[in-house]
Amino acid sequence: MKQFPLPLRFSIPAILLLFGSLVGFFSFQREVSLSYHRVEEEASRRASFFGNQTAGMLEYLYRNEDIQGAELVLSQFGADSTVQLALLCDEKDRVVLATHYELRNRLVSDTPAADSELAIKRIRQTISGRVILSQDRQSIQAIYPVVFNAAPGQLVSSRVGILLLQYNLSTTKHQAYTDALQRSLESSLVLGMLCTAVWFFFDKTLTIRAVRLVEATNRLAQGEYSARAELQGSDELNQIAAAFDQMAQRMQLNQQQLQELATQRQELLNLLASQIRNSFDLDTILSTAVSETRLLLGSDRCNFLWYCSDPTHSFHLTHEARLSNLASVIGQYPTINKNSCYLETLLSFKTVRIDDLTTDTLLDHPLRERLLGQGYRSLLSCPIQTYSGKLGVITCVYSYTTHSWSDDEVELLQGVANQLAIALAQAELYEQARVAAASATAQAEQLKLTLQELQQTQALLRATLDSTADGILVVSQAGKITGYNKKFAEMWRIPESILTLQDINQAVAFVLEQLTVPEAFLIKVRESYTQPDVETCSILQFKDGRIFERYSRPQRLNGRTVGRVLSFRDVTEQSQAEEKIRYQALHDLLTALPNRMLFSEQLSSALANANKHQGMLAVMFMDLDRFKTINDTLGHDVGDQLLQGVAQRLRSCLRETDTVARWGGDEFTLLLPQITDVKDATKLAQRILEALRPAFNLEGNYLHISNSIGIALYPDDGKDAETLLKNADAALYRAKEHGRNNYQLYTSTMNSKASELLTLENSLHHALERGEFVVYYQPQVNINTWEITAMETLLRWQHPTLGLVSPKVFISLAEENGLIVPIGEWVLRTACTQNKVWQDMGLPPIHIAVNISARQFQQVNLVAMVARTLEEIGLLPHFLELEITETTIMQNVDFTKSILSQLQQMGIRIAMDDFGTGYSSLSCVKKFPLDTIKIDQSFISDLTVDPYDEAITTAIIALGQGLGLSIVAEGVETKEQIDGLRLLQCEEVQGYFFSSPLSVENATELLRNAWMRKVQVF
Amino acid sequence: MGLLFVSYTQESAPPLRIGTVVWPGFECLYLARDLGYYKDTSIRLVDYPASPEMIRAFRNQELEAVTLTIPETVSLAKTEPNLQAVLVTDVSNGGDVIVAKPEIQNLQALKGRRVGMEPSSVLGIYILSRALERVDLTPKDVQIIPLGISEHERAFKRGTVDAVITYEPVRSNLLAAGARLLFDSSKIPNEIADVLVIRGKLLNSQPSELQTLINGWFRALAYLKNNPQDAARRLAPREGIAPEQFLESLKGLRIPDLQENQRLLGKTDPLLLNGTRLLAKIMEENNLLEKPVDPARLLNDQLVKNVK
Repeated sequence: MKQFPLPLRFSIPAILLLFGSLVGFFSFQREVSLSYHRVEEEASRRASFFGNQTAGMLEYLYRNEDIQGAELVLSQFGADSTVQLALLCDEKDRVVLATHYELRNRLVSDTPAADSELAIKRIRQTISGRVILSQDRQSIQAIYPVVFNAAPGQLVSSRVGILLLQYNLSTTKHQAYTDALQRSLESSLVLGMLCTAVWFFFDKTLTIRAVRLVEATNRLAQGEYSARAELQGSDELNQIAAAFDQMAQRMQLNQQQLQELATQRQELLNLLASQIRNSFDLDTILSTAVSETRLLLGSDRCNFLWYCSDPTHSFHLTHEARLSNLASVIGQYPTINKNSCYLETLLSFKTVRIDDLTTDTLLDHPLRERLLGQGYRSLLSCPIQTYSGKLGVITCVYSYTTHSWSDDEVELLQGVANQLAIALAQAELYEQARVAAASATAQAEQLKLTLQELQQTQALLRATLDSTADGILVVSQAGKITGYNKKFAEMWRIPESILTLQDINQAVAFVLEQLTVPEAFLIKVRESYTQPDVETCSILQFKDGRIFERYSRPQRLNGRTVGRVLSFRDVTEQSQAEEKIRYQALHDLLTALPNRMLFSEQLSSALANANKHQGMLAVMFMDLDRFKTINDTLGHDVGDQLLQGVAQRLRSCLRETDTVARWGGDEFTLLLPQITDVKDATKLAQRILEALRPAFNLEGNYLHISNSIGIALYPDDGKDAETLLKNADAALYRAKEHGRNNYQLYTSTMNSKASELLTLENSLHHALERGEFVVYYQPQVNINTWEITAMETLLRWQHPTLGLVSPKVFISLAEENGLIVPIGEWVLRTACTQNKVWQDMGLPPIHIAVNISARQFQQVNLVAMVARTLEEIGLLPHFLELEITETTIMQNVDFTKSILSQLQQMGIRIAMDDFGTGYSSLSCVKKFPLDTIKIDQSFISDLTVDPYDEAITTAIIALGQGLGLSIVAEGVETKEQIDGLRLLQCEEVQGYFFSSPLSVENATELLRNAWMRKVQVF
Repeated sequence: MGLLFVSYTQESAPPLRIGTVVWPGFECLYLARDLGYYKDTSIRLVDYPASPEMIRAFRNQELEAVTLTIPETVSLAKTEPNLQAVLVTDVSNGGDVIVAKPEIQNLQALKGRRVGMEPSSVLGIYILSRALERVDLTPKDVQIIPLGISEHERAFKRGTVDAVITYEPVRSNLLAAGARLLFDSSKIPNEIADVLVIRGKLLNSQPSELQTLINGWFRALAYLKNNPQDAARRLAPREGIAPEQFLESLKGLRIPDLQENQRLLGKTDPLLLNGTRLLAKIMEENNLLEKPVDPARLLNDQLVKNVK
């Protein structure tokens, strides 16, 4: 492999720089050519668009001989700096118009566009415009044919002129070049920065890794076997590092094995030590020692001998461990020479090491003979001195084989000997102590039992305390905490650290922070000091909402007060529950407004207050108009939602001191306890009317409602709650009478009126059965033929004492209480029967029109009821016309539509009453199946004086006629109106001009006379 | 890095612009667009006030397709060698008319009178010659006044012209105003058909868009047949007339269905081919065609054959 002349960290950036420059250069080249291409394309598109458009314009202008217009069009190009030349030549190549006037009347060959002559010729043949790029790509020409008017006598024109537009591209191209240069420089800069970043990154990582590898090698060389290079990745440097790490790993392993062997020995020794020191029994210690030591050293035998210095200088072998095939050698050993080397070595506490007994010189002859006789061949003995000065020897033996004892083995046995010495010393000491302790034991036993009992009692007490739900605190007379349970610490959230101080003041200080009214608590605490024998109880409120009940009792010992026991109970939930019950008792759950009870309470206290300060207050009664209808048609859920919506808007209208309550149903009462003027009350009433005016969106139903408000004032309209409420109610009634959606102040005459209405409502219940209702008939007349086409049925109530009651009053009452249903059914039956009677009398058949109210429409059996009535009476359905109002049918569009369709299918005619007064009249006509529309009398009354009314009436008539509906004008009273309507081609009218509503007798008479006249005419 | 350079070169699909004039026979295109059949395609319908403007735009490559009468097609074929009619949109069945002032009793009375027609309108000349030859006159016997279609009604009512050669909706308006009908295309059945015309190379460059266009046409046609009221409600505002009037105006023409289109353009039914030949002949005789055109090469049934 060839080597780079430079270090990598310099040659790499050099290569990057070279590569980057090349990429930058080529991208610039490409960018420039792309930009040029775009410029040419854009210019071509522009040129072809203008060429085609201008050629079309010129053709049009020449056709209309508008030469000035054509000049204007062409001269526009003069203002475009990219247009070098624009000209129009005729079919003979003569320039007609040009941006350069001097070119006019010249031949094209005599202009700067001379080069394009060939192209012009081709285009004149194909009559197809082209855009042509010049040879040097610096300009573009749009050449488009312009067909002039045919020459006289020619059917199709062959006069093809040419429009030529020449665009200059050099400026745009220069701009594009500059842009491209800038873009390329920018991207080169980015590239350069990127490369620098990459180089920097590589430099950093390579250098760091190399340094790490070198460091690791040095550390290993210094004997730190755990040293590793630990480089991540898989490149060459990392492979070297990995190989190094493997090598270091192996070295560390070898070192560890050595250490482990040593550790194992040490552990064995420790084990042995712990075993032999586990016991204070001499025999056990020694038995364990020999058997473990034999195993530890792997020898055939291990013996323990005591040295008996008096009288015989001999050894007594007391404990042994041996291979199972060897015989026991326990017993007395022969006396040995006091000066023998063996004994001397042992007595000077040195270890005797004999690799081969047969060649040994240390032992006395008799002893050696005996040992050889017992099969000993090699031995290692270690002396042990006990606490009491006795000498013991531990010996390891190889039988029948020589063994060369290693330093390790010697050291190990010495270790065993040392441990054994300690164990033996302990055992001796223990024995001494055991004897001494035996007498003390009995005494101690008794004391221990008493203590246990005491502890049990204490634990029981503690458990009892801890298991109560109350927090308990015991405080001494001196203010020291003498006891408390866990619950107390938990409830008060006092850390143990404070309680262990046992200072009640510290604890109180901690607690105070958490309380809402710390002062009250402090007073209680002080009281407990000044009156130590009093039991007290109080409630503590915490800032976090918790509520504690606190009991404090004196603690007595032998009849003397020594302190206080305080118990705390968490009553938060209990209090909240009580609060909730109280809230529910005084509030309406649906709207969350105060209920009647709370309102009465507040009214009473407001009255007392007003009385005291000689102030003024207002009580209002409010209800929603036609709420029952909403409930019945849209369901109670919607009704409930409406009430909630209303409550919300009401609340937003009030001042803080005012109260609004739900009195019941759709009735609300309001209390304004602080007013200075009647206007305060009326202003609020107006505000409420306005607040409730926008539609309520209830599950997608947009509902408009209106409401009525009655106002009574203290002290003028009553001094007590009952009177005020009653009078406000009376004022409400008056508001309703005034056509709803308004407010009324109470006046003293109202009560009689209200009670009158109440009476009226009562007698309405009986009016039907008592036969107090009378049906009147008003004819509808065709003004061209003067024929009666229909009779509208009108209901009258002849009250026995009040006389004739206005339909406005009793119909709305009947609508509210639902009596309208039986009444309406009665009217329908009466009217149909009457029509049948007239027909049977031989009078010309006419329609009978009957009004149907909204409430009747909600009756599910309306269609069946009508069908049954007609069938029973024997009247053909198409003689019946049912009149409905817009308000009726807009209440539930789909439902109404289906009912009307069913009725219409039976043959019954449907008429729209009071047409034009509702806001949706036009959509009604489109949505519902109708036969007749009746123009409301308000339009007719001013027909001849008000041009707007005339316009509206005209429009309604045109609309009706367009849709093939009959039109009836209501409330026609004058001849002028008749004439006006005749002009508007409205044929049918109804009103006082022709006849007022008539009793059945008079109506019959009228019909008969009309018929007679007609008969006479024939 | 390469991506940076490549992304510059991406281009959107080339447009398929179809020029039309307001004419009930072409309305299925707009119905198809209104019903969303051309959504997400490059199909773009372009309205022109009159057909000469539209033809100029086609000649100048501003349009890829145009709806033309057969006479216009034949005339255009003089300079557009590879012109192809790929759809017969409608066959005039009384829709093209010559109407005159009430005092002009018959065609004979047209002699020397001012007759308005669209400028350089081959169709107008053609109808005029076909009508006048019945009373042994030629177009040279009348005074031809070039008038854009948008100017027809006004010029006629002002009395600038004595008669106009026109079509819907001007036809209905003038007849309603009391003009006299002297001649209509029902007297020369199948000679005046309207066709959708393209340059032949478009069949190679934008075949799928073209097929979508034609498929949409026949879907819309089916819709018009099954829901005439709704279709009329959608289209009448474009024509500036009431829906009923729109349906009425359709009676002046016949829209051939797919099978008939296949027969006419595939020449298995020689009616259109023969009509076109006759037309070319008449045009040649009237010096409207300097160069003979082979009508057989004009008709192309490739697209209608593949309608699904």
